[in-house]
Amino acid sequence: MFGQVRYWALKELFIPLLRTYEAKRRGSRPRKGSLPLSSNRVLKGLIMSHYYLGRYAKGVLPVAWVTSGAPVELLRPFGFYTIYPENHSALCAAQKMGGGLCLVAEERGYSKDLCSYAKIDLGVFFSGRTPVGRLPKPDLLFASNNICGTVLYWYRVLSKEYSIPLIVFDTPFNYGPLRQEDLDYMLDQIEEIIEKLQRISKREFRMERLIKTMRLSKATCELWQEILNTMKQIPAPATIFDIFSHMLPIVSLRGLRSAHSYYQVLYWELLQRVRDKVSPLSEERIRLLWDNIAIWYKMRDLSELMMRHKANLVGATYTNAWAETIVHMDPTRPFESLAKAYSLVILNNNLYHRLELIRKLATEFKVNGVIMHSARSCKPYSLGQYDIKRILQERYNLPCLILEGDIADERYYSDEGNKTRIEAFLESLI
Amino acid sequence: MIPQRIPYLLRKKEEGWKVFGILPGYYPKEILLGAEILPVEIWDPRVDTAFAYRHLQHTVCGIVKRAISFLMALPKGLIDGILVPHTCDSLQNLGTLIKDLLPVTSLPCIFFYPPKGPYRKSSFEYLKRVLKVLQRDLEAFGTQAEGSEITRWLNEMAKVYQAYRKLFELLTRDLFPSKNRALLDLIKGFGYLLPNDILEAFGEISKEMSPNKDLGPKVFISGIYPYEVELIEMLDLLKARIVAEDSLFLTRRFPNRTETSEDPYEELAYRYFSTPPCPTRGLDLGERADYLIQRARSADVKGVLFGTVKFCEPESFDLPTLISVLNREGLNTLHLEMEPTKGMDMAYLTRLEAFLETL
Ligand code: SF4
Ligand code: SF4
Repeated sequence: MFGQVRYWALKELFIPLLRTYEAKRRGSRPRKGSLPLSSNRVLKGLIMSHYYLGRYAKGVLPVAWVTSGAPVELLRPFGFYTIYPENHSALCAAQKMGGGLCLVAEERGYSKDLCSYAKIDLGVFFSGRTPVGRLPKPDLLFASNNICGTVLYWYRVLSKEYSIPLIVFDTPFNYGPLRQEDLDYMLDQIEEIIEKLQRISKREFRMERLIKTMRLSKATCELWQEILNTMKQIPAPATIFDIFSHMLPIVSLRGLRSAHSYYQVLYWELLQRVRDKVSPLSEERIRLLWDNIAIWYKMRDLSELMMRHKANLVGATYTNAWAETIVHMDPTRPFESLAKAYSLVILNNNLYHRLELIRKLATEFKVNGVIMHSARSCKPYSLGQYDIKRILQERYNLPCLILEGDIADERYYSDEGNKTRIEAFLESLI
Repeated sequence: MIPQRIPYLLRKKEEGWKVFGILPGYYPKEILLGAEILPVEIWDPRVDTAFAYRHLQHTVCGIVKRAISFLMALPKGLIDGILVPHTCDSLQNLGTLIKDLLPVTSLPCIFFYPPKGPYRKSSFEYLKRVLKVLQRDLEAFGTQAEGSEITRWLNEMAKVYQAYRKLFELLTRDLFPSKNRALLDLIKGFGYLLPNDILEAFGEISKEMSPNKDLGPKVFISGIYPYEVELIEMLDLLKARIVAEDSLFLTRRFPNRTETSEDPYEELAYRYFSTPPCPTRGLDLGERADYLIQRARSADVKGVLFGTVKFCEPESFDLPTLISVLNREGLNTLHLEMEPTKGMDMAYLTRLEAFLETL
């Protein structure tokens, strides 16, 4: 009872105050020469409140840990408080805690070659160290292998360690167009998942709640798409590093009003910049596309390096992933659209699709070249890049650079080597 | 005498068999056999892997590097098609890479996606459906497997599983006379021989059966593919005997069925769901630990040797938990991480020797 009162008091009274305070506070040190978005402060309040409230959610609401590609809309009608370990790992990495937490997992016997999001999460599990104070222990794990098989292996470990159920939404990989057999399988699974969620949450499933969530989710993803579209302007109103740091709501708060409200703020700010022809660069001489997940611990350095060369990364296959399949989301056919929207995402699709997507984005964003982050952690995103690069260069005359590194473990990034390569690449584009 | 792989498949081609190269993982062998296709699994072809680095990051496992190198250097006409089972992220991307971006492999490429756990009713229904899709894909390729033919091969494969089980029983009872190297040939035969040829090889061995006098420590070996020749030779050198195994190459694909269903697709599905726990199929980690303990007990071994492939995520995630559970149960463990493209040095031998002493 006390826990419930505390949770609701925090949610209804304290959190709004915290957000207002954060929105008014001075932001953190801006990147050299950059033009920080004033929405950053609103975002900071949103992130803080999300993790802060999470600390008190346990026991009041069922807590689920969810993979970034799982159809979270199914959980919302049951009132789950959702935590995204991948997102939390990215947060740790951005605070340069990635390598240290990976090391904790490695000391417990986990191979250094595993995905660093997973290793950071296991490091947090073993050490309790996190920049957000404390993560609520999960009652349920909800994963989909539409991004990788890794999440399956990783969540099996969590399921064993926490002795809690793991629900998997199994999305057959699309070697070609989506097959009817695969769609039917996913539809059957959605029904089974709902049954299981009813049992775990001890709440009835109400279709109208799912539809409402899906509407909100769709609207948020559409808004996200509009935000990305502002970057097609020349000059672009922000950099991809700004956009990367605004991903938390689309990943972790999808299907919640707070995400939608936040993106309205961000969108209006970007739109205003477009109208006023405001750019974070004094001059935008080179426009680039980014492939793969961000290098969270190098955002500032890379951004400054780009700016020095009057280059702007204006689009990314990564940020596009939360907008690309939204066309399939039709709340009047909720199950079918969930299956389609989640199984047709970039990482569950073949490499021909990837190649064509990069070409399409390169044209739409009018870029001069592509930087492909070959991420040690992420096989599904990285394996195939060498040949995509070859084809883009040879067949379509689109210059590409492969940047070897890692998403969250700073120990696998060579500063000097990569700086030289990026500089040489940028010079070749002028 | 186990026939050598390449001469064997050339002979089979002459006899009218089509040959499919199969990338590692679970696939319904019986459907291919029913369509008169000889499946030849690509786990460890002897190839120069330098070529792989043009297409793959160095952080991709050696099995995948070997597979791509082999496929890109294939002599024309050696195989007629490729089947890619969905086993892990690396093989998933390798499959689309060779189909979509590397035209050198102009061979027909067929994909097979078995459902991932935790299993539900929908997994069973789905598997039956995709088995039929596979058959449809093979038909498009010009081959057809009648239901009765699949049933015939289901029966043949049941005998093969039985023969291998018997083999490990003999090993446990010290009745298998040969060294690990000879055992390795028998094990590898599972990846390319027709069932009757496997059974024939077993028949010959059973004639030579006699109590093994050369008794060293007994080892239970586990891993996706722990059969690098150097490791096996090291075990021979140290007089250790493999008496039980848990590899994706072999027994993780062996069904545990006592009944038979009349519908061949249903039977294949039941068989798939009765195979031992494997991370590539997403099964429960606790169940896997229990399974290993039970196998170790029944084989009467004191230690488990985990031979893993470097950069293999599915297996690596399980190891810390498995090792700690097994150790708690009084079973010694050794984890040797191998890099199939690089060979094994003396350090491995030293660690192996120390491990065997504890047994
Ligand atoms: S980084 Fe890649 S491998 Fe790791 S969880 Fe994300 S998609 Fe999976
Ligand atoms: S060794 Fe592991 S990573 Fe490599 S192909 Fe096999 S399952 Fe995949």
